[in-house]
Amino acid sequence: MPLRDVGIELAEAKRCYLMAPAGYGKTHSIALAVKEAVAIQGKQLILTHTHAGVHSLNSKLSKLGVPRAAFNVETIAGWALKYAAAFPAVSGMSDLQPSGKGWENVYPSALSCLKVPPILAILMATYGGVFVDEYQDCTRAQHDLILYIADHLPCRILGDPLQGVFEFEGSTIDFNSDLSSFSQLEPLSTPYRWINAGAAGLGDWLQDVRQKVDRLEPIDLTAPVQYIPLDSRALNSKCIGLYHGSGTVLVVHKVDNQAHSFSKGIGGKFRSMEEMDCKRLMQFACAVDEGDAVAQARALIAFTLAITSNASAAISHLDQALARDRHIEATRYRANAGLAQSIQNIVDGGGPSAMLAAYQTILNLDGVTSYRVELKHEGRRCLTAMTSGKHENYTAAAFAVRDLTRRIGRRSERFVSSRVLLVKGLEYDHAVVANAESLTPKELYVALTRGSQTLLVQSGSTRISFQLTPRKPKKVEPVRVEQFDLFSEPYYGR
Amino acid sequence: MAHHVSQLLLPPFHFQTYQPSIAGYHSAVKLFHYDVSSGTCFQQEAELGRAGEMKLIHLRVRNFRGIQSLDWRIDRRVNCLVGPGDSTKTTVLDALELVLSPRWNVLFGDADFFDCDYNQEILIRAVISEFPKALLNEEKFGLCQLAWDESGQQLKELEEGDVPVLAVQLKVGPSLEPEWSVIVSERDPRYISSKDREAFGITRLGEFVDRHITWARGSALARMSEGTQSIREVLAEAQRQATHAVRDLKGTSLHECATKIEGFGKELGVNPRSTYGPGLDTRSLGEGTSFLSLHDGLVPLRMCGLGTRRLLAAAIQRQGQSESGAVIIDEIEHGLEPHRLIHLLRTLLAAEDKEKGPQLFITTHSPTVIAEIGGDGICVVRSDGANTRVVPLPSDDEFKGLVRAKPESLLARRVIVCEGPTEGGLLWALDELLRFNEKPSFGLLGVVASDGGGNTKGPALAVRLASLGYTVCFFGDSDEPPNPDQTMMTAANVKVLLWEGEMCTEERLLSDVPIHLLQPIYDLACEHYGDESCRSCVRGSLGADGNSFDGNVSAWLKAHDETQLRAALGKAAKGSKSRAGWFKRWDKAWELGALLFRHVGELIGTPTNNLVDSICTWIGEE
Repeated sequence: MPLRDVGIELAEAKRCYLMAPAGYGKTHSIALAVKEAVAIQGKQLILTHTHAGVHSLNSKLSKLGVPRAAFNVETIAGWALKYAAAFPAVSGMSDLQPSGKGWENVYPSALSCLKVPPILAILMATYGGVFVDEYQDCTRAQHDLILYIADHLPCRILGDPLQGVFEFEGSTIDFNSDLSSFSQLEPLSTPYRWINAGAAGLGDWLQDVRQKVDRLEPIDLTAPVQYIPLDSRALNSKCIGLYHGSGTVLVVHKVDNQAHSFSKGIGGKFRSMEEMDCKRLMQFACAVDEGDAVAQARALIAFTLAITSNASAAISHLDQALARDRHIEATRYRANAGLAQSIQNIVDGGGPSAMLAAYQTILNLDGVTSYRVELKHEGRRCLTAMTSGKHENYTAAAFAVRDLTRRIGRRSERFVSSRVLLVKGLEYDHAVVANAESLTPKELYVALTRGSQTLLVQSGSTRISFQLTPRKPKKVEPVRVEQFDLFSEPYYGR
Repeated sequence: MAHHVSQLLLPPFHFQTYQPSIAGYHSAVKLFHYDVSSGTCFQQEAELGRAGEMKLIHLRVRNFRGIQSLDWRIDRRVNCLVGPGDSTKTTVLDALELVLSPRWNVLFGDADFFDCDYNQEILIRAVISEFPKALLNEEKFGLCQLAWDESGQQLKELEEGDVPVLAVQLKVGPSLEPEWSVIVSERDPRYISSKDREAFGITRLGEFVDRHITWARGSALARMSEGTQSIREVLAEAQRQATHAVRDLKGTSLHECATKIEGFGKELGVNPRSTYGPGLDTRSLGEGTSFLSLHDGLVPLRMCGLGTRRLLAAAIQRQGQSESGAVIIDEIEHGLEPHRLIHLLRTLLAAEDKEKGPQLFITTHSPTVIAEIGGDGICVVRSDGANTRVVPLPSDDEFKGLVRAKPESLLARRVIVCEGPTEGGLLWALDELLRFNEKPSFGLLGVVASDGGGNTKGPALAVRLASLGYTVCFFGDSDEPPNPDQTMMTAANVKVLLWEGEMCTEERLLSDVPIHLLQPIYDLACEHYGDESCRSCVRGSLGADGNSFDGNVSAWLKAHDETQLRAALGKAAKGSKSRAGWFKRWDKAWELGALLFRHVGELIGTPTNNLVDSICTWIGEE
């Protein structure tokens, strides 16, 4: 079915669910449907999970010329918090800046608000219909909220169960049983992303893989996929090759440390993607706030080591000296006397300006490159803000930096190293999946569908088999919860 | 055109049947409901949303002009503010208008601050229920909905079952820059634009009524004409025609001049495309549209009388707003004859539907208006120089009756409630005496003498008025004890002045007047009721000696006792159940009083003089 017809069908449906695999024109269908629905029902509410999702829906909708006032794209988290926070007497919400597990209270709170007629009236007066994207990422509490909204407004749900990588026990939505009251539209079936990129063969291969992942059948890494053996040199050389080619490149790992160390190992050519919550920066700020001058200097050294390659030789022994003597005799370090002195300045109580100066000195050392560029900038912003005296302490300054990051979003880089959870929904020309066998079937499917032109997969053998018994669902990772924390505020204003 | 009564339709009976409530809001909003069995969605009308009739339920004013502090819980649709001068009635209306006004260019000066102290921020806050639906939007103020805590008389967070309200606030600080916002919490107000404030639909018929009968930008006429676009089109067309009209006038001195210029130009090589002539430049009308006004034939309506203009403006306002919020009218009686006034009031009070119709805020100095609105819509405004109180009149039938019968008493600050017209007429005469002697008179002191309507109704009125904050004095006879009695009235802060000895007014006066006034008083009665009737009354009262009374007081006194005659005259003047007294009308009692006070010096030492002295003392007290 042409996407235009899908759009009309979606727009006219009152309560439906559309299965939309990655790269099959889902965002475009939503945009088309919103355009139609606006004409029939008025303003549309479009809910998704990530700021990246909000961003791509917004840009797609403005490309189609849908007037800005006719729709509102928000994260479910941000939207629900708005209601829960506005009516504390109904919602019982006291924490208006929830984090971590606090977020799980937001959805039942918003739901209890919407059950009060004058509050429901706001929703009814504002919107004529709702779209919910990436439904596979919904938690149970979010699902309950959406079900209630669907009882009052036309509600269209889009998602792909195979991309449900945010799994934790008992919390995921079962598309068959939980959405039984929604009529299912004919799933999207044309792999537009690969056809448009001139890689129809890869699209076909992924369509086949999709079924295999669904049935947990083994996958053969044959053409058009390029196989990389499980060897870091092989991986690196393939990646360097892509680095010298054209187009954007993504290297997908399972966890963030692998992504960081890959970046470091390949000399900063690939930027390691940062999370929105700036965890490392916050950790640094806390350490500085809590420690004495020596601890502050050491925290700075640790932070710079975490974001650069090749700096270790110059600064590790300074750190050791500090640990041993609590003092640095700058004149002893002839080659790097300036560096040593800048560290000693911190120890001498130089405060934020000494911290900033030492930070710059380290980053400007010969041969030192930063592979976590964004974190580097955020560190500098945090230190600069401290020197201006605007903030009470480093933690407050780091909070301000984090807020800014959330508002403006992250810059997209040409060469990126990241982990599955952070790249969901992003699209690159070339994708490299590192150690594919370590990924769960759904993670693997998400990773495999990131590249629109070429796909390289590193694996122990050319056939990836899944265990026949499904893996035990992963335990709740703190990362999972923080992932939601980063939706806490919609980063674009109205 | 003559009407046959039988052909007239009976209007639905809805006059003043408005029930104040903030809880009843019923209107339909389309809801989608999902039917599980059929698997389809259907739209269902559900009780949700607003009746579209905005209600102001509370007004708070701080440090604004003459008001340091006002908290007014408004629970009626019709609110007619009455009170003496300087009771800050108009300031209350100004505050109400300003806080909800769509104007963005309101200028404030130091004089707008209480006591001109610009360091004390002006704050005006209006709490509104059933606010316009346009504001309910998530991106407008839907998420700012609060509720009204009736017991604490304050705002609170919205809870299940509450009626939602919006709290709109206007603040002006030392910078004199007005800031309008909707209160979310005390710390965090949300700015509300003048465009959004338009939704409140506040209109005021004040001093500058002429604007309402023009198509000025933002006027009701402009709104009714669907915006500035159509107005500009009309103007442009008119201008084109005017240009042609000027061109078509042939042979004027202007045309001759233009022709000459054409010639001079040609000499210098300027060749016209057509010919030169006078014309109107389309730019000359400028941006404004206020000169485009309503005309009757060729006569602009602004030439009509003020009353007509105000009525028309009111009519335009009523039609011009689909969701009109509140209508504010200063001195509604201004320029209107009583019959037109009553017609306007009835139209405003009784809208098509009893629940409908915009909230009304009116000030008046007219007893007609008070009588027409009755107790239900009257609010008494009182200021102690800093704190203003707005007290709604009790709406029980008894009080309503009193208000309708004696509306003028509500318009003063100090009221002497007289037991009947005799006492009232005497006070008129006393007032005249005071003015003649260049002493502060009733009017100057804000005192009104009001006929209480008997020894039961009068004292009741006095007590009710006192409870509303009026300074009240009750002036009555002592032949029959008033009810509520003297003790109860005194306890209710009513000053009670009764004649000494158990006498009615006439008896008291006739026993105290100098003896040479007995004849003129008798003659005065004869003028009104005829010699025959008066003589027989006196004779009846004199008993056995009466037959010798022929109307000549001094002649009769030669043979009889003065006290007997005084008592008889008093009894005759008082009247009985079957016969009206001689002076039981304001005008007649006034004549009696005038006669009496001409010889006021001779009354010294009498109980009459003592009481009149007490009245003068009370009047002079502040």
